[in-house]
Amino acid sequence: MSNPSEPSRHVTAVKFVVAGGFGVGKTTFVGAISEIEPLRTEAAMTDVATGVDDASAVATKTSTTVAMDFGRLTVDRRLVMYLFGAPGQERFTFMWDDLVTGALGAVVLVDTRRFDECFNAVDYFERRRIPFVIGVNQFAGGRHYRTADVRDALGLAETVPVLDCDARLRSSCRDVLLELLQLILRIKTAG
Amino acid sequence: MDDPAVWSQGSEPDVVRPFVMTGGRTRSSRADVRMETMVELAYEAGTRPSLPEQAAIVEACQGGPISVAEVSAHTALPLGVTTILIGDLLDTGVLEMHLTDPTDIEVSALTRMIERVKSL
Repeated sequence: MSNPSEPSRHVTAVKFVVAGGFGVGKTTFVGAISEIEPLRTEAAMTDVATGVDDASAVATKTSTTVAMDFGRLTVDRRLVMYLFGAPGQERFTFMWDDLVTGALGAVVLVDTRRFDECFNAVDYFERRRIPFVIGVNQFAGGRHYRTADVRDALGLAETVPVLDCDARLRSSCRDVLLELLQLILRIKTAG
Repeated sequence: MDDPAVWSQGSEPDVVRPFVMTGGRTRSSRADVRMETMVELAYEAGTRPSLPEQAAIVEACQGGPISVAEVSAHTALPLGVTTILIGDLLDTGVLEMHLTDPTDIEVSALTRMIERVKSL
C-alpha cells in the first residue's frame, strides 16, 4: 500500500515472450532467468476449441484452459521484467494477441529436429514488428546446425540475431536475453 | 461448446463459474490492463469488494505493486477473469495501476535491464 509520507513510486513493468515448439525448453528458459519459481496462470479458452488435440489425438470440445508459465526479474525498485512462455500449440495462437500486445521483444527457441514448429512464431513476430532473437537448441543426437544454416532455413533477415541456446544452462539463457535487449537498444537508438 | 445443453448439464463447473463472477463478460472493458500491468492498493481505497474473488485479489495486492499475471497465479483465478475483476477494482478506486507505455521505454531503462541480466 502507498505510504502517505512518500510519493507513490511508479513501477515500470516490461514483458518479454519466450516462444517455440512443444518441449523445446521455454519454461526452462523462463526459470533460468526468473528470480522466483516460475508461476503458472490459466488462460481460459472462451472461444470454441476446434480441431484435434495433438497430445491425446482426440477431438476436443471442452478443453478450456491453457497454462502459461512466467517468471520475473526485478531490475530495481522502479523496473521489473516479466518473461512469459507462449503456449506453442497452433490452436492457441488466437490468444497470442493478448500475450504479445505490449511486449518489448521475444525469444524464439528452435528445436533443430522440428524446425517447422517455430514457423508460426517467427511469422507472427515479423508481422507484428516485435524484435526477436532465435535461440537454437542443439539436441544431442541430432544433426548439428550452424547458426547460418538456421538463418537460411528460417529465411531470417540479417538483422535477426541467431545464437545457440541450451535452456538448461543459465548462462546460455542469459546470453540470449542479452542479445535481445541489445537488439532492442539498437532499434531504439537508431530510430 | 456452442451447445447450451452441454453447459446446463454442469459438466464443466470450473469453466462456467469464472465467467459467472464477471457477470458473463469474457473481455475486460479496459484495454489498458495487460497481464504484465502493475497494480497496487489505492491509498484511499473506496468501496470494499463484495465478491470473494475480488477480496482474494485485494489480499494478493497487500505486499505492494504486483502484476496482473502474478495476481492470477496467486489467486488461482484464470487470467481473463483476473483481468476483468481488476478492471472493476480500478474503476471503483480500490486499486491503482502503474501505466507503462511499451513504445516509450527509455534508453536508460534498457541499459539497466542489460546490466541486471549481465549480473545473472
